[in-house]
Amino acid sequence: MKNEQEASQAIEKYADTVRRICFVHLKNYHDVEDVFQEVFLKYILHDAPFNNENHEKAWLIRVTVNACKDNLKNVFKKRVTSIHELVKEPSYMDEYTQETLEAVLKLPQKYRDVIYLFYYEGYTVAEISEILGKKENTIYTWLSRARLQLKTDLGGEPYGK
Amino acid sequence: MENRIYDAFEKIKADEELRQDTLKGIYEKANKKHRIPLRRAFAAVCASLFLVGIAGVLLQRVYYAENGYIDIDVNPSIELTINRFDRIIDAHAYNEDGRQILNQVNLKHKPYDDAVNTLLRELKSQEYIIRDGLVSATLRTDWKEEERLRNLEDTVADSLKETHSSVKQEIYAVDSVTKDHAHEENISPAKYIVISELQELEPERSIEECKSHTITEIREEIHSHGNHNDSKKHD
Repeated sequence: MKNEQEASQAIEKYADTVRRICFVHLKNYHDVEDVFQEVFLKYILHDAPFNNENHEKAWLIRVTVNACKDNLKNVFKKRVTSIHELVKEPSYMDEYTQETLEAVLKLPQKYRDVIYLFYYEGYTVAEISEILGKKENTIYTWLSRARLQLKTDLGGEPYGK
Repeated sequence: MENRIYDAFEKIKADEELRQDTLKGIYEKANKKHRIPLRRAFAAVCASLFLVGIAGVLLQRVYYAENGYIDIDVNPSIELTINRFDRIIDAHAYNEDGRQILNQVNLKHKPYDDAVNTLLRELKSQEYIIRDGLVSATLRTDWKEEERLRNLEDTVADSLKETHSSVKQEIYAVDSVTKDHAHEENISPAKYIVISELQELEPERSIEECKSHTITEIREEIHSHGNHNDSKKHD
C-alpha cells in the first residue's frame, strides 16, 4: 500500500483531472466524492509500479472513467444533471463557461471523455483509444460527431488550442 | 484563439476540502480492508480452537486406545494397560494389596518394561513376591503378536532376575473374551485361567470362592487332582 505522502502527491497532481472526468459523467457532487475515494483508494492499493508519469496519469484516467460508469449503473441515480448539482461553488462560473460546459454535458456520455481528453488534456486519438480501450476509428468517429454537435450548440469554431 | 472548451474545463477544479476528505477517507477504507473483520476473526479463532480440540481429542483417542494388558498376579493383583506405543495408560488393582502398591508408585505413561521393573521392585520392597513365589503376567492381544509376547516374557524375566532370582514366572497370552470375563469377575486373566482349569476338575467351585486364593494356591489344588497337566497357554 502506498503511504500517505505518495497519496497526497498523487491527489495534488491528479485531483483536478479526476474532478473534470467526474464532471462529464456524474450527476451530483456526492457521487463525485464517492468516485474520488474509489479512485484514490485504488491508487494507494495499486502495487505494480508505473513506467512513468504519463503511464500513471493514463492509469488514473482509465480508473476514473470506469468508476464513473459503475457509479452511473446504479439504478437509483437521477437522470437529470445540472451544473449546479455538479459543482460545489457554481458562482465562479460565468455564463460563457456555463454555456460551454452545458453543451459538453449534452453530448452522449461516450463523446464527453473524448472531448475532454482531446481538447483539454491534449491526448492524440491514438492515446485516447488506448486509454479508453477503443479502436482509433471509433475515437475519430466520436470526436467528429461531438464536434458537429458542439458547433451546432455553441456556434462558430469553439475548439482548437 | 481562445480554446473555449479548454478554458471551460480549466475552471473545474477539485477544491481543498475534497482533496483532504479524500486523503483521510481512503486510508480509513484501506485499513478497514486490511483489518480482519471482528466477526471473521472470531470465526477463525473458533474454527482454529475447534480443529485443535478435534486434533486433541483424536490424539487422545489414539494415545489412550487400549492395545494390551499386563497383569502382574503375585498377590497383589495389578493390571497395567498399555497403548500402541507400549506405554502404560492405566494401572488397576484387583484387591486392596494392589491398591496399596499402586499408591506407592507412579507407572502411568512409562514404557511398559520400565513400569514392570518399577512394579516388581516395589513388590519386592513390600515382600510380596517372596511370600508367593510366582509372578504371572498376561498380555492380551487379539493379533497374536508373538514378538510382543516374547518381549514381555523377557522383560518380566529380566526384572525378576534383578529383583527375585528364585521366583518363577508364567506368561500368558489371552484373548479379549477371556480378558473381559476376568474383568467382570474383577480378577486378573491369569487367575481366571487357573480358576477355569480348577473348575474343569471341580465344576461346583465358583470363581467367587476361589478368587481370594493366590494362583499358587489354586495350582496346588489343581495338582492335588494328580492327572492335570500344568502348561503355558498361548492363544
